Amino acid sequence: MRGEGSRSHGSHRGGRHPGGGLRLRRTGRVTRIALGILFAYATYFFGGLAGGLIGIALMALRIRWRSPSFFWALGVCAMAAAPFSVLVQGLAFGNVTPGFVSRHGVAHLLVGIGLASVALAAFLEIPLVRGLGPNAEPPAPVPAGALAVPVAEESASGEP
Amino acid sequence: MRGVAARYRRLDESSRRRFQRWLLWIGLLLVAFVPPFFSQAGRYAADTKLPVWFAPTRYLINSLKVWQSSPYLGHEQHDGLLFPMATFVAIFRGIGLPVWAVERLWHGLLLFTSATGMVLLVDLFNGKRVTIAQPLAAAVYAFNPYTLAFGLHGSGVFIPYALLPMLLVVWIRGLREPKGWLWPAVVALVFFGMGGGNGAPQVYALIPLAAFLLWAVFVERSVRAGQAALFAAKAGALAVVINLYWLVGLTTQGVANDIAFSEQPKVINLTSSFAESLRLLGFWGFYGSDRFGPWYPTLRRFFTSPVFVLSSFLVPVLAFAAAWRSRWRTRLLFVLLAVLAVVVMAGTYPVTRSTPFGQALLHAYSSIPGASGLRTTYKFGSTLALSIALLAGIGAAEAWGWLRARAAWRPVALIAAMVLVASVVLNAYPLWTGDLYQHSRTTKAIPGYWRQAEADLQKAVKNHRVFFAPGGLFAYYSWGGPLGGIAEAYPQLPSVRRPALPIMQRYGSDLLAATEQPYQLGPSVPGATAALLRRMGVAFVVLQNDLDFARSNTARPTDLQILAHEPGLQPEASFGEPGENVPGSGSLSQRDRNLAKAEKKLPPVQIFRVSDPLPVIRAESGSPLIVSGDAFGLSPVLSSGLLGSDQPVLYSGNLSAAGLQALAADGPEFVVTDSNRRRTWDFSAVRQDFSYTLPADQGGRAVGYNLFGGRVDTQTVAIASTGTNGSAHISASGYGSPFAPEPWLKPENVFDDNPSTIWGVNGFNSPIGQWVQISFDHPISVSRLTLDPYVGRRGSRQLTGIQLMFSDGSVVSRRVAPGLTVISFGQRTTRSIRLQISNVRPGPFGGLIGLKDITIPGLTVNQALRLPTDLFDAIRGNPSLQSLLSAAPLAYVFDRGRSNGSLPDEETGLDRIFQVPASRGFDLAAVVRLDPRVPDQEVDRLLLGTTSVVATSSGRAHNNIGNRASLAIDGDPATGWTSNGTRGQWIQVSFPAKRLDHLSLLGFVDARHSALREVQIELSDGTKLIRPVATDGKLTVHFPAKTVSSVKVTVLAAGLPTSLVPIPPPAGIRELTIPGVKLTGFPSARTPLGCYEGPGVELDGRPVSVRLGTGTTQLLTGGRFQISACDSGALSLAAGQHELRISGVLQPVTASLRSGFTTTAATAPSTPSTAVKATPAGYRVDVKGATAPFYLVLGQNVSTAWQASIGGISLGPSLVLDGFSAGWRVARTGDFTIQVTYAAQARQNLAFAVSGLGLPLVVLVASFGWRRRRRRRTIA
Repeated sequence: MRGEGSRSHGSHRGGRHPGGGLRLRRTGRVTRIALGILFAYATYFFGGLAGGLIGIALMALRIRWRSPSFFWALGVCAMAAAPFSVLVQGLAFGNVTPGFVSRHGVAHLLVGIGLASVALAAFLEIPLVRGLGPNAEPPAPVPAGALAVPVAEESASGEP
Repeated sequence: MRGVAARYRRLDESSRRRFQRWLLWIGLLLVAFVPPFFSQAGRYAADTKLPVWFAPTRYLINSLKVWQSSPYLGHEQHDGLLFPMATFVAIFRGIGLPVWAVERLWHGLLLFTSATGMVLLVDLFNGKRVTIAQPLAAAVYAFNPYTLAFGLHGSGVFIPYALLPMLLVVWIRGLREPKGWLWPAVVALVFFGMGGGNGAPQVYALIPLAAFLLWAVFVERSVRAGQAALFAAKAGALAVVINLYWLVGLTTQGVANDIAFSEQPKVINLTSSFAESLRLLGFWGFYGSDRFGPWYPTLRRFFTSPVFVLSSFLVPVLAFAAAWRSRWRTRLLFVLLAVLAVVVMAGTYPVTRSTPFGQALLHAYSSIPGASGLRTTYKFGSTLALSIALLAGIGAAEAWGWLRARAAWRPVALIAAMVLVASVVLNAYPLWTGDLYQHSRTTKAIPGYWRQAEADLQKAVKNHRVFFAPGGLFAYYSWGGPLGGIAEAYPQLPSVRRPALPIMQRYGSDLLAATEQPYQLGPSVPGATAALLRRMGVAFVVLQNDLDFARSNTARPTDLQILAHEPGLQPEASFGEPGENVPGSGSLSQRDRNLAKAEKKLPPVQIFRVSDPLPVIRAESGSPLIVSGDAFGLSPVLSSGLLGSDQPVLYSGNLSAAGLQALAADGPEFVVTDSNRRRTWDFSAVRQDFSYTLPADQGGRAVGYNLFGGRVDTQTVAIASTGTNGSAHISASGYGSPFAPEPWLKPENVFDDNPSTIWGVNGFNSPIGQWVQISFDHPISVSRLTLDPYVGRRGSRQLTGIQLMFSDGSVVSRRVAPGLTVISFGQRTTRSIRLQISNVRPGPFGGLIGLKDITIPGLTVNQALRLPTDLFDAIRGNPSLQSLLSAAPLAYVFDRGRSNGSLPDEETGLDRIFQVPASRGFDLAAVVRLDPRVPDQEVDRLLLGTTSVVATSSGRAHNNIGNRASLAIDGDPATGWTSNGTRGQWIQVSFPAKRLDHLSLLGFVDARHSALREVQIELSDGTKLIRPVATDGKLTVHFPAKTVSSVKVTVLAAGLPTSLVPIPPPAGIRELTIPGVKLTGFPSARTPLGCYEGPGVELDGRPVSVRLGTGTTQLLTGGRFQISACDSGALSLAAGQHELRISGVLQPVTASLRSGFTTTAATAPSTPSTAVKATPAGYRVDVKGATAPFYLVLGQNVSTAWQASIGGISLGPSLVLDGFSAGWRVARTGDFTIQVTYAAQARQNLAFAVSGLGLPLVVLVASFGWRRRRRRRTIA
């Protein structure tokens, strides 16, 4: 069996794939709102009040930025900022104590934002690969700032 | 080298790939196996279980048996280490390799397996061609803080981590070829390779499998749901069959205890923030430290070095960045798995305000059976590491290809690659720096003297046990830190050691904790320890003087020497040279240095023989003693002489009315004790490990050893009441130190009207916000109260502000100064008063902040301990049992909560409430000592009775009775009053009014006293005379004749003439001569003292006249002596509740009230002889000469799985005998055989059989399937 990576030079066709793009196109507004609420609730469930606010904020951003790339970038940047917040808030001296963790709440928050954001990005991309099977060609990476094709198609159809 | 390169260039593509592949394997082999050999070379590093390494063959044999009789009085084993760990170790130890080398091989194998699995997983997604993906993913997964700090320190539960990538590979391949049995069999075999352990890592390993199945069905759509489900079912069924041998162990009592008594979620998730979890840290132990430094010093740089902080975040961040820019589809699954893993690892973080997910977890832990076993959520880190490694590896390979294809980006590619490699290398730095193992947890070899001692003990012990003192959570020796005690290194030796965590149904653990009291800071009852050991079947006691007691947090050698003087123990042998490996204790204090000096004369191993030990399995006959309480009550029962040497002991807490009825024919005797106290226990320590005695409504559902199902009626509980307002409830936000319980700082102390006791909070944390509260059943009216704050030494912090909070919500804030502070406020009616610390003046030394007393006008708070009521609850409504208890010998035994003198006592006196079933007379007996803190006049009253002349003082030096005030008016200049200071100290003498015109005094003139320089003499009519004192200490004062009834002399100035001493010695008066006033007639040293009636001994509020069974010397030197009621048999108690109080001048040690116990031992029926033979499932006991019912004591911890039968007829459920043992009452007489079996062994045997038969079948299925697959491929 050949590995997937050996076939990773195809063009991006996920959006046009009957199992992926068509299904996504059929996703109505109500479903998307429901999924959005579900996502926000999931962030609340796993992240508490702060997590819920992050989830709502991400859903709000989703109205403006529909590309998964935005959320990938946001997530990676948030997580990349975490070590610097640790450095700014101070490292341990002498013996390490549990206070080291409680002192670095900002890092916890940043990583939380990052996780929620990359999770959202991954969820947004799942329709692109759905039904392709392990042996079909994978989609090309979504260029930063560009809209994912299915969403663009949806937008073109006049749906918000 | 150039030749090799040239030859490489000449190879064709496939040969190159093969070469690269070999290079990869060789590289991984070297990295996995070589560095561990260079870390602490030659030393075994503590890992999982000591016997696995030091006695692997014996361990393998023992692991076939569920019941292990050593070293904790018997327990069920559920290690699950039989395969592969113990088998691997046994094979390599069997060929003669040293322990440390086998361990390094094992660790290397685990690391290599992790890396190998990761390579194969990358192959699956990225193709078999070797790129940067395989080595990078393998390195990220196999060498990180999780593997190197957490995994290798307990490799038994690390195996699932090592095999997870492999498991996922075969699972994915199985889902892609779901038909047939090949892949289900291979999945089951890989799962089998993960071994047992506590099962949690295996459960966590199932999550990525389930996730991939969902992915394949619903996203990839590469397999139909039905096919996937069938494949999973087949794999699951085969896996259950061949893993059944350890899965059945998850239902054992030991697993339940581990879950109940080991660290809880609030500790486990204290540090598992998203950020820390993401970088594969976050395990709570990584952030712990003690006075010896961090618990995981190898990880310290991840918290202190900016470079390491950056590097630890870099890999996961790059992994997510790679997922963004990468092309392979399944990356999305691993992104989501990584997110899920971080969230699950965080668990209930933050523990003080958990997320809904955290709260759901807590709910699941408490309500879903077995869920609590998954609470170490850090174990899900395997999935995070796998996802990160995969994303980073494949992403890096793609990025590398992209960058290399663009010439302009090549330098960037090079720098990026260097940074990435550097980051991976830094994350694995313990591997490269030789810090893989912490030196204090390593051992070179067990010293020869231990091997010799073990060999000698093995020969001598026969049917008995060897007790190793002291116990502890971990055992660090001067020669190494194997963590398990030396007893565990010799599983063939029948041994007993106190574990920290409770074992089985916890009776044995309770008994061992009680047995260790004398040298673990608790009180000592001479002879009781040997008697308890004798009942455990202990023939030899081994003192481990070479323990690093400070690091092990256990008793030091000089503490253990109390056993050298224990009646019933005789010295047997010692091993090692005096001082060899016996640790000193640094130079903390002069006392420490003195102790260390004494310890250096001790050999490392001392062995004592127990007199006349009972066989482990034995018959006991005679009247059983039914004890209400627990093992902590047995020592005072033994010292009271209430327990015969071979008398069976049962706990009433285990006996129902029917159970009591069944014992009635044996003529039982009853003792109610103030033991089984409701306390919270800290099972991470073996000393200073329990709280003060709690009220019934505090401590939660399960406290302490939770004996008898945790029923409150079986416990001794604290109760408080007020004279008019019913019961009171005293509580506090905390007390004492956060590091170890300090029961002497209990909140009740502020309401006991005793300024020598304190409630306070200790440690370095801020005490602001801490509170103590009293609540009432009925509201009280209050307008002021008086506070007496605790004042520490100079330089310590001081309470300066307090808030009073009332039940109506009103708050009163006040400043507090040292000394009594009266706080007035508007009249109000309240049901509670809370005093909350609102302000503290800091001090450089920190220290205790608290209150000595709170006085509320018109309110007296009575505090007592209520004894267990289970016995009386059981007989209620049962006339035959009531008459049994009314006629049977009955005693109450009280033991004051106290330490061995090195720490303050929990209680200063005894106040006990108990029930009496029927009217009867009781003999009072108590062991007491003169309380050194009692006022001078109370001592005189004890010695002379009530006198017309009374001498009091501001205090006496060192609380020494020989320095009291009356010795200044006894007419003997050789004695005198020595105060507790200089300026302001006073002595006062009251006497019947008489006319005086002069008096004189003689001060001390010696180096041990400050000479009096000036005094004030105050007469009862208000006359004050200030006079200088001559240098010879003499002073005579004349004044106009007047009628006087008291004289008070106050020291105004005193000091040594030429003193350079910073703290002057106390001032004092040899003789105060007041004409016609003397206090004489003190009894001579040896004259027995008579009866005493005064405050101190009260029964139901009435003073009891007691006979002091000692002379003056014994009394005044603080020695213990016995008291008894003056009127023999006069203490008649009616049925109902009673209260005994012994406090004040006579400080009790133990006390008892007994009725119907004869002083001469009753003639017990002869005990039948027993011959014991071990059988595969238990024991066969041949009984000969049974003439009456008797009790069979198994000598093993009680368990519901123990069963006994005679000729196939069951003896019923086992009893708890002698404080810990399973046992049965046997009514049959004559000669017969009792079969004792451990029922769980049959289930275990069945599981072994199923797994044993299933394993070759599964292997066969897998091999046939593989051949068939190859054949098909060949044909294709």
